Amino acid sequence: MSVTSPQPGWWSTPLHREEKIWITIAVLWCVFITLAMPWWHIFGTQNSSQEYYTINPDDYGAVVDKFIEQYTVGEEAGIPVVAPPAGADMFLRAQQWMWDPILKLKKGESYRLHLSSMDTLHAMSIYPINMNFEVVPGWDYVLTLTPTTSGEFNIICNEFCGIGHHSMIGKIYVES
Amino acid sequence: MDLKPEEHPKGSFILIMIFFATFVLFYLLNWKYLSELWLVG
Amino acid sequence: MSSWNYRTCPTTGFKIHDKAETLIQFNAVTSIVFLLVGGIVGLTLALTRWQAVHLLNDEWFYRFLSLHGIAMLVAWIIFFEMAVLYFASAVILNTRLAAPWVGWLQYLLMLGGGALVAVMILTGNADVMFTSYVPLKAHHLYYLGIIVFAVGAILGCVVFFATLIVAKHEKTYTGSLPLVTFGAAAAAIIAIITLSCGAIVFIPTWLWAAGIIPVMDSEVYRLLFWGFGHSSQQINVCAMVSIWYLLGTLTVGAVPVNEKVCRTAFVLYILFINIASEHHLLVDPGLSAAHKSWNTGYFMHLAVLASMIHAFSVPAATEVALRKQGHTRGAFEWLKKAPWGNPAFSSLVLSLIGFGFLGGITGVIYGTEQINIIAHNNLRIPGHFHATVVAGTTMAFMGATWYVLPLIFRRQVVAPGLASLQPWLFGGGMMVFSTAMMFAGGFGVSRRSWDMNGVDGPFQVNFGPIVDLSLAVMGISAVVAALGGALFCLLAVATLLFGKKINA
Repeated sequence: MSVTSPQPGWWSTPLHREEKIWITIAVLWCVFITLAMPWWHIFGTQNSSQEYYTINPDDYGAVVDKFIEQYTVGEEAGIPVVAPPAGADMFLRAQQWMWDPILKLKKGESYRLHLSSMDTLHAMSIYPINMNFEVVPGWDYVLTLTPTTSGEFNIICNEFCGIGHHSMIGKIYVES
Repeated sequence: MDLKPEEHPKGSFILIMIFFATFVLFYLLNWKYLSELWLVG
Repeated sequence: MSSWNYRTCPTTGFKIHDKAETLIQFNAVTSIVFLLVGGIVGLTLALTRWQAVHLLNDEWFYRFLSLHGIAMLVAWIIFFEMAVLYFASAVILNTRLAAPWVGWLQYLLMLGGGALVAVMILTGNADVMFTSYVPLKAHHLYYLGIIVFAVGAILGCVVFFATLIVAKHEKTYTGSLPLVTFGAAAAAIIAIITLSCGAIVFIPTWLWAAGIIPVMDSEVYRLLFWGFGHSSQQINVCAMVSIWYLLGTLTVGAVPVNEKVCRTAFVLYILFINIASEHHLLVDPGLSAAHKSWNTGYFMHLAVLASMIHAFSVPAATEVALRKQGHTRGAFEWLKKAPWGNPAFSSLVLSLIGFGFLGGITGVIYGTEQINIIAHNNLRIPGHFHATVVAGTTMAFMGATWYVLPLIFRRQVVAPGLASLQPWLFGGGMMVFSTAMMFAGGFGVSRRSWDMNGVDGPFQVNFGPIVDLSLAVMGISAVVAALGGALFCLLAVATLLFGKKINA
């Protein structure tokens, strides 16, 4: 019984057939799911980025402002709309409680998206495709991003960042 | 412990196989969902 | 050998030290009080996320969400686990509890710390969520309350190990430790490591909140916090699995089919879950992919292997016990003839399905490095952990309570018919709740958000009717589960106050 001491010699009790089969399957499965991750890094097209730098929030803010100044093409809801060229470094700023700028991208082109926060932790969730990354103050996280669908997308913040958290929604346009 | 043939846990084995099949299916399905996302790295 | 008062349990034959029994009772009752508070608050949260109802305003939603996390993940579960530790050591080994005064210190520190934390949250001084990610800042007494609670819990583990030593020294049992005690020891070892991680992250955060030192880096905090945060869930897993074996024994006389297999699986938990907290950081900057894969893969998946082993061993032991009773026809006669009327048995089965099938499968999937990109911080995550911690661990602990009441409190359970219904309401409700959350999360609905449409912001988002339906299912199943939870608390309290006394 599980509440009494086991029979002496319990260590040498042989496994039954069902147990042996199941443990073998379980071990092989765990090896498989472990190897799947490096496999996808080599052969897959969606991976978490390994490019990141530490950065001071004020310095990041200055870089974002410069980026906006360089590529502004318009404005919406008081937020600048910015159209960076293909292959460019583009900068998204998270702060309590807004995302800026609004990015205007081209389908099939690759960009370097920088993510950082001016204050607390935030997270970028691109709706409706459901792509999610953490946005951390003091860290510049660089994703090499290629939109494969066109249309209007939103950025929803999904890391709790205070009372205005649920209103923190931004926008991305992808033109075909 | 020694088990007689009729005492072997056949039912549990079937249940764990159902569990495993569901696991594999749902796992592979999610990789497929991931592959439909924008390219990112 | 010091003299100590004990009684012999007429049902199990265990020698029960009166001081151990009192500590079990106090910790168990207190855990249920926190369960009730956390549960009421949880219901209001579900009725808010169900946007058609939207019960709470934003301020109270975030406040209650913070309280719900602490009341359930920390207070309810750890108080109950203290009761389990005292039971697994003093009662199962027929020994006196070592230094009961330290046990009382455990209780008072945990009670004081827990109360302080609850007051801080309810007075609006800690709207920071269970995770309290810096630089979100709570009043420094909030962090102090958590630290005091954690110190109390460590003391409980110390008393547990000291009691094991006393039992060995005074030869109150022969041979190896019984499996339930072995599993509880695994839980206690993980607890000591976990709570130490907690100290490493919470002490500097407390000092920062008190204005004494500067804030730590957010990413460093996250790494350290989850060293505490995820490992604390593994304490729950070990305790739950031990309870599974206990319930198998108590309900159908199950004997572990192979003790070596079960014990090795517990050792895997100890060795590999403590280092495996990076699955919370998979889409964060700061760690290389190699580091994250290794942590998630090599370490976490070895703990997953342990769970997969128990997922077979527990039903197998139950099946063998029932087959030995003569139910040998076909593959499933044993299951049909099992004691389904016993709420402890149905709790065991529901817990296995909730934790293993719903929670376990989704946890491994969402915790895969790249798949996390489509899971991080949306409702899939709370969907997963309500399956593991609530439909799994909490259900198992409730199942154990149906034996604690007659055997430790020595009161006959009132309204056994309602008791039989309770696990289905709670476990069934919770499983539907989890599934609905995960479904909505798949569409991108965010966790920890008062309003998914972004009502006060520059842009609004519309998720569509399927998501609205899924959140309605989530809300309704939360009501069912809350009824099950309330019924549990009601029956437990009614039994304590009015249950027929069982005289030993």
